Amino acid sequence: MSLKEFSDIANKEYEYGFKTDIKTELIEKGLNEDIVRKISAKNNEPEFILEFRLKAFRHWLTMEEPDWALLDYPTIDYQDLHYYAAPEKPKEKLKSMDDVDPELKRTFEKLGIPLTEQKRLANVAVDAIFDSVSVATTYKEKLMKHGVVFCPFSEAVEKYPELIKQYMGSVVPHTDNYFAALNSAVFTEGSFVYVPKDTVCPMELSTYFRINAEQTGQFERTLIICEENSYVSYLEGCTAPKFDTNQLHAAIVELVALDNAEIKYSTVQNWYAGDPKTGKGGIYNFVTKRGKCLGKKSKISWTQIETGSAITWKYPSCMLIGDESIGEFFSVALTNHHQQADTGTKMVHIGKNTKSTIVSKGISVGKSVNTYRGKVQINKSAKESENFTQCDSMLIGDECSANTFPYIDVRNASSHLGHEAATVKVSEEQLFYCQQRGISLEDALTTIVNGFCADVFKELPTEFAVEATQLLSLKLENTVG
Amino acid sequence: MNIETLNTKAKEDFKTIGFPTNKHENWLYWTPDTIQETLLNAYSEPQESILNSDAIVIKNGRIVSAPEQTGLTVSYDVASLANEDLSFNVESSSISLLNSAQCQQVVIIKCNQKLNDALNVRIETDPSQNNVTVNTKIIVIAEADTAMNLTFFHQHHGNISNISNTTCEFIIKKQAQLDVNHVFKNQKAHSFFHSILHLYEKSKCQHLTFVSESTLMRHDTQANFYEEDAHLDLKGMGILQDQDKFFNHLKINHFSKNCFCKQHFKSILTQDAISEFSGLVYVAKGSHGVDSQQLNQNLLFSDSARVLSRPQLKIDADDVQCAHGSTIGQLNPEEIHYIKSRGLTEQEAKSLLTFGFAEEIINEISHDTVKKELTSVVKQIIGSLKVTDEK
Amino acid sequence: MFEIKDLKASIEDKDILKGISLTIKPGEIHAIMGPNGSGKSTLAKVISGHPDFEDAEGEITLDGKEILELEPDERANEGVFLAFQYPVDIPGVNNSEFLRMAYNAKQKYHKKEEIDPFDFDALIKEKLTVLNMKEAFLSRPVNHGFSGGEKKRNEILQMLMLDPRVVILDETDSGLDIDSLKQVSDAINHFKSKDKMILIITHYQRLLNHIVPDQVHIMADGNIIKSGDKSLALTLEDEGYDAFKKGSA
Repeated sequence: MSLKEFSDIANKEYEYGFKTDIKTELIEKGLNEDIVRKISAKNNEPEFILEFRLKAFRHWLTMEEPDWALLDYPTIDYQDLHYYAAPEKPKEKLKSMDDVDPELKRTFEKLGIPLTEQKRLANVAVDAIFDSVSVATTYKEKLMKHGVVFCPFSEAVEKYPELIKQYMGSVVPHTDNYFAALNSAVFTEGSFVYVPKDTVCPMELSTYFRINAEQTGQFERTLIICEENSYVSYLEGCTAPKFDTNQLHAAIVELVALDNAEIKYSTVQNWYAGDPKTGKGGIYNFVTKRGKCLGKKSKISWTQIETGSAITWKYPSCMLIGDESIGEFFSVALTNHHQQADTGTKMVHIGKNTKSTIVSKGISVGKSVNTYRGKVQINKSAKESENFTQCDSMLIGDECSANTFPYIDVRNASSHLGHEAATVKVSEEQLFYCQQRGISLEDALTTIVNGFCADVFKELPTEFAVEATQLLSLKLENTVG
Repeated sequence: MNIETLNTKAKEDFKTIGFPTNKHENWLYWTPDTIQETLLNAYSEPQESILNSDAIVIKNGRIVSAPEQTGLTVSYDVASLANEDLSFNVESSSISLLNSAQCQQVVIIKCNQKLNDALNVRIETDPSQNNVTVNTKIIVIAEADTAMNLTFFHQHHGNISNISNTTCEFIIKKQAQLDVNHVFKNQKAHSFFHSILHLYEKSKCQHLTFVSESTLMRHDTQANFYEEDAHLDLKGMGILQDQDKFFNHLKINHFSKNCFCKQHFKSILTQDAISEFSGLVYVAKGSHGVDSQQLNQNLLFSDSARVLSRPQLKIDADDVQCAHGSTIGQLNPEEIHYIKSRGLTEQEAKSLLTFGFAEEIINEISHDTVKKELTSVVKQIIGSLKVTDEK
Repeated sequence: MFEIKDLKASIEDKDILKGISLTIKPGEIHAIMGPNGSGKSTLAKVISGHPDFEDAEGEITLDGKEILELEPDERANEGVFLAFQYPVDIPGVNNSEFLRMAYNAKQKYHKKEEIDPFDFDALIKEKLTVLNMKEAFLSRPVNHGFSGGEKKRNEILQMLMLDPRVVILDETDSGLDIDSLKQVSDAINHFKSKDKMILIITHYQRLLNHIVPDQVHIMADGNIIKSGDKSLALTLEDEGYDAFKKGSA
């Protein structure tokens, strides 16, 4: 078995598609001020939210879509989309797991997804005892005891308007970029997390527990506020394949950490990547994620495992404003077939003694293109600051590409910066060594790739780490032989 | 081919592309907006007969004198380049197109055997007018199985409103060896310098650039590996003070297998200096066995200085070894303390350590005389650097 | 019984093995010695199923079962172990976890249960003491940052854990200092038993002082040119390879 066989990528067909008769309440297609007002009205929003939307929309009209030379996607007609769809009436539910497509079941099993979750994802009627709604309610009560708020964004607007007013748009203003402006005008749902002073959030918050997580919002908005001396770990996404007829996703995630607070934000994303032969039909994932380390000694860590979307355009960033604050970015981006990933991070050092660490691992297979684009800026004021960056690329097969484009800008003489990048290859000798120890070729590849990603995986919360490893092995399946 | 056809084609190409703006990836931090008029104002001088001298002297874009030596040909006969595969311009800068459009002469230095002695080339910008650009174009050809050692001294005399726009293109043929040093010193004016390198099978090249006391220096290097087993060692050292600005851009193109390219660039900055390093290594599909090692190291002495570093990789082949690294920092306080404890002043300690930082680059120069010369130049400049900044 | 019959292998049109035949009975230790370029390491690679030699011809049987057509991992699970001359490193992959994966792969192949992590832990620590290796070895990435001697000892650790039937030691003694050599030899002697078959590939006599072979074969230019008992190794040391080459011409 030689490495040449790696370039024969077998098509991992996603043959299942949910074709149900959806009766939804839609606002007509297109985007204009009228529609923005309609969206706001449908949500029963207070005046200040409508004003926020309109300001963003008017600004969006003046902006131009960014043109990244390395991403290749058909032009999006923004007038040809529905910007509002009310929650669906309950779909015709399947009676039991036996009725679920066996391929889907196998994927769930391989990923180790718990049965109740499998049922929810496969749209199977859930027993009264295990009703996912009541499961979520129990957790909500536990959180409330600690004063931690975790609810849908729309609920937060209603119940905590002062917090929303204070922090929404403070980290990602609508002027920031084209998709941020679009999102700020038409955002639909999202999550809101508030952790009061001196509180360690008692459990990892996961989007599993959001009551209305049935529908994937196109323009989601997440706001997490962590007050002094507090800690929260938030998990976004899940390893189960996500489909959406909505091709464009432009989300915003804003994190705010005050003095001594720490926010850990982990993402494991497995979007449908599009047809393996043509790349058609995949999700375009344009997300603006930013954290503001406002307080002294505050810390924000981004950990992401990205596989899947046809196009990923994602740069979780940290503004290190408080003195001695810390920003971290750990990422594994796996691209296969015709995927294109252009992802990276931005660390801006403003306060003194600030520190940032970036570890990025890109794995390219098939005909994919994997690009790391990172920016580290150490301002004059950020005296005695430090950055360390390690970005490595692994190419498997002869038709893929890996690119590394860092931007480093240092403006004072008391800081240290170290940046390293290397291409790594899975060598025939390594694979043979594993095989001689009895490990099959496919398992050998997964092991070596997992080893390559070890520095990132160890940053994930345990349950995610296990899922991530399994996800990787699923994605690398049929890459060999 | 003649000089007119070269000029005409380049003029047309420049009309299409135009001057660089900050929307261009390679021109994010500085663009020649204020000097466009001068760049278009090419200086010309008549050709005199070529004199005999030890060094090759090129003044205001024209060959003035050259040594008579077996195995070495110096001419400006463009027609003799008919069978050579030349680019004339770099991808990253349309200013090189202006050089091709406006040069009066193409100086050709050809080597037909293994030349043991190092050869000096003086490139002088000394026009008798102000607000003009002197365009110098040089083609160096090392024929198969030959060896040559060249040091180019780029000198700018006279008015600071004048600009030097120089292109040196090197063809290193099969199994040839070429050692090149470029020295830019005291260039209190704007300089544009383009290096183009073409490497063929089993060829070897060492290319070093030393820049200091330059108001504005923009250096674009492009290296093309066309055939297997070639070896290129690119090195550079920039010592910047006052308001000096140095923009250093590399594009390395690996079109063939098993080539080795090392890129090592260091810069020392004091006061309000700015240094940019951008090194893009491209490995084309099928170019297996390529080994590319890039390192950019920067030493900062002032809070008003600024370092921009962009080491980049664009890889389309899987069986390659490519690595890059970038560091930005200061001298180690422990080391400074140690030296001071042996009786030296703070200034002396820092100068010593800074020289140690610079020495690594100079140490690898193969030719002893050249190495000695450059070492003393560097020592002298570092000795007078303002390395103790009031905090 | 481990039998090789008329094994031929070539690489890029160059014949490296020209018809090797060898039989190792259970409990036996055989040594193969030969100059550089004789094909010794190639023999080790071909037996273990290296992808460079997929077109090898001939027969290799283990207890009557033909293994030449099997994938490398299948041969390993059948009980063939190669201690590599130059063990490759696998960064980021924990040594202990790698071994547990290999162990469980063999269990699965033989339709047995995966080993309990605690039992595995106890087992590996026991083997560590045999080789006088510190526990810190287990948490390091496989061979990454290991010295030459440490890599060789790691190979033997793996051998002890996987308990193979046939062991091929490819120049295990090269790069080992006297103490390490003794420890490795002791471990192999300890491992040796009535049903194990060991093939030592080496340049030098000195390893054979510690691990005494039942048969010694001299290889040159892709063929076994002479076989004999352990005294053959001593003769070889005195007279050099050329003496034997002349004899076989």
